[in-house]
Amino acid sequence: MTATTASAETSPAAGTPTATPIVRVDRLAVSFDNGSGPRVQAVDGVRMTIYPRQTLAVVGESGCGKSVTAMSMLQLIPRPPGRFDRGEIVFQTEHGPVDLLTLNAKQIREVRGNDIAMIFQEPMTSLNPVYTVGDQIMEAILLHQDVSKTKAREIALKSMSDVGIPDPESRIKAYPHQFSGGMRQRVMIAMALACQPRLLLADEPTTALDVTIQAQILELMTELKQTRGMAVMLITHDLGVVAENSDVVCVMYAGRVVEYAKVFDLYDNPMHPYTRGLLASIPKMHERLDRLVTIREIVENEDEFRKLPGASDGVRPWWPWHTPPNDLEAKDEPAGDYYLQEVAPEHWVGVWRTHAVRDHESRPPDIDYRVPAKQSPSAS
Amino acid sequence: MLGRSLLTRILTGGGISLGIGIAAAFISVFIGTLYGGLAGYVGGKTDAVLMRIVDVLYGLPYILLVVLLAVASEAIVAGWISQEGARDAWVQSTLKQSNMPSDQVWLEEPASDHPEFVNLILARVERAVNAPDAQKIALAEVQDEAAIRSAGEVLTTAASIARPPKNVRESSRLLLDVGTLLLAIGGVSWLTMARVIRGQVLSLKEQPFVEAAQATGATPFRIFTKHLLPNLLGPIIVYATLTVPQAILQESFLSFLGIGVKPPLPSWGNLAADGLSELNTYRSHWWLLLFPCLLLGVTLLALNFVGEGLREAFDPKRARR
Ligand SMILES: Nc1ncnc2c1ncn2[C@@H]1O[C@H](COP(=O)(O)OP(=O)(O)OP(=O)(O)O)[C@@H](O)[C@H]1O
Ligand SMILES: [Mg+2]
Repeated sequence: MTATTASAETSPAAGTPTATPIVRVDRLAVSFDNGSGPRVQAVDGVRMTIYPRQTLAVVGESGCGKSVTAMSMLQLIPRPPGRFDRGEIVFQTEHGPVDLLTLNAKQIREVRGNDIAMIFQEPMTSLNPVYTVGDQIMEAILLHQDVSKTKAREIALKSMSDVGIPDPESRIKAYPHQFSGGMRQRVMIAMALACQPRLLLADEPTTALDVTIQAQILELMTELKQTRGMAVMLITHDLGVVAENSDVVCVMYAGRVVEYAKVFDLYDNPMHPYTRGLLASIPKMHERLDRLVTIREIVENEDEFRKLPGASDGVRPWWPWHTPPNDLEAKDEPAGDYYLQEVAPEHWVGVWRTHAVRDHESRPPDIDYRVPAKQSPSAS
Repeated sequence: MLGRSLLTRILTGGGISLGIGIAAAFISVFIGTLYGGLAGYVGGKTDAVLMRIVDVLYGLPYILLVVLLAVASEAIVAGWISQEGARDAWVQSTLKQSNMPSDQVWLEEPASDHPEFVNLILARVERAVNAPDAQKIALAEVQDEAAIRSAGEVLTTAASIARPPKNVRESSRLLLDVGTLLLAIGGVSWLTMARVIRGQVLSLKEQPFVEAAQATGATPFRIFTKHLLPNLLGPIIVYATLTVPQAILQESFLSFLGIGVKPPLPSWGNLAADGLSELNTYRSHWWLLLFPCLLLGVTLLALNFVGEGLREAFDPKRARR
């Protein structure tokens, strides 16, 4: 049943009826107080767009600001020490667009868990050990829906069976420690989905799980995304997970977006040297190599930075460890030396804001694309 | 000794000692959990200020603090009972209304020299005392005295008739003593509780499930009461059960000093103190010391078992087997 709903609107650029993005992050900048030293700029100038039924994968190494971006959407950044410096996160609610960063405490609580749900990396500790899983799923429901306890229990049971927890009737009374890690992550998903959110933020949902369970959980998320028309922001640093479970990929480095493209475009034609480094460092099935190329070998090679379309005009990939090119025309603002430029159709790369870029500023990253659904082997 | 039944007194004393211990534990749990929880959960400057206050209180000699609290609250209670303040005020306002010279030397003169003043006092007593019988007696008394006493003496007598001391029975007086003691012990023993709870909250609030609860849209109040407090139950129970014996020991110490439970009301503390004074080589009444101490020891041991059992009962990981 998932195949029929998804394959109808899979061709790119087809005039899909859902042309308004669910969420649009625009030049988000978040910094943290560092006690004595200068503030730590966790992210700066981050832009991304997520459409309904789309999975945007956010990849990058540890500390590059993936979680900060996701947490900003729910204002879960502890403030202080954190601070939203600039930018906006426009979320499409049922009543029209709102900037999530400007909502007050009460308003954002209504969004949390209701319109936007989040699941975390640590299924072992993300559940409160003193309550049964049923209580916790029901709490999420009762917080946002005006239903009776019995009805909430029904919804919880339905939610649990949706995420593939066998025998929910008896499992609903179990405590978290009686579940395995994979089962707990299913509980977390059940909790997240109980209020029918329109955007799911999954912050490394499978990192703590073994490979088989990981595949099951991701499959489940893809399936639920299609049946419920939900959008997903999938944070991971596993490029294998990205290839199989996402539509659009956003590669981050040092708090900036360095590359943003459709998943196949990115794998076939990585444009930023850092992305090339990431891809080169994973082993491939059909190639026999004595040793893998490291990211370092690629990003330390100056030639790698001259391969971008428009390189002859002076379009250079942004890289924090390089001195900016001579023809830099930085804007007089933080992160003004950086720009996320559409260097090829539907393919954005973080570049230095040189003369060539200033004259051809592109639109912000915005790809309304979904990978065609695989034909399910056994149609139900 | 007075030939009282030791068994009865030990049992009654046990009730009083345990009652004080448990009540003090409740007070310390209540204040300590709220205070420590607030400090830990809010954090930042609030935390710093609240915990510095605790540090200062901690730094003060502990027993001194208890003694001060006990003495201070006793003074307040005594003042309330004797109503000295009310009488003083009555005297002052009477003098004010009398239009007499302000140097007050005339108060030494015979009252019969100042009939207007005596009449004023009588009128005021009449107004202050409602009961008709009491009124008549009071008036007669004051009038009789006016002939032989000085104006000042008549005034003070009238004051104690107009504002009589509250009639407090001995038993309620004793209860008040116990209450004072309880307040003093409870008011001091929450410090440790507050520190322990704050530490626990600090580590608990960094737990992913707190963030997960935030992400589902729970309010801070809800997170504190529904997610943090239940997880604090273990340490709360452990420290509460430790507070009970501690409070019992303090109670006996203070009773020994004469600040706490006073005979004839028994407590294990003052029974043991009595028993100790009966130990001598000539004729030892050793049982007077042994039995209160034995019961105290057994109770402390039992309390530890209760604490352990409760903690196990509240821990979902161990409860279901
Ligand atoms: N509470 C905080 N206080 C101070 N700095 C923080 C805080 N949270 C995040 N940061 C900073 O923000 C940066 C980005 O952190 P973030 O958690 O987004 O990384 P990440 O990409 O999610 O990494 P990982 O893959 O390890 O989860 C880090 O360098 C960190 O120093
Ligand atoms: Mg992270």
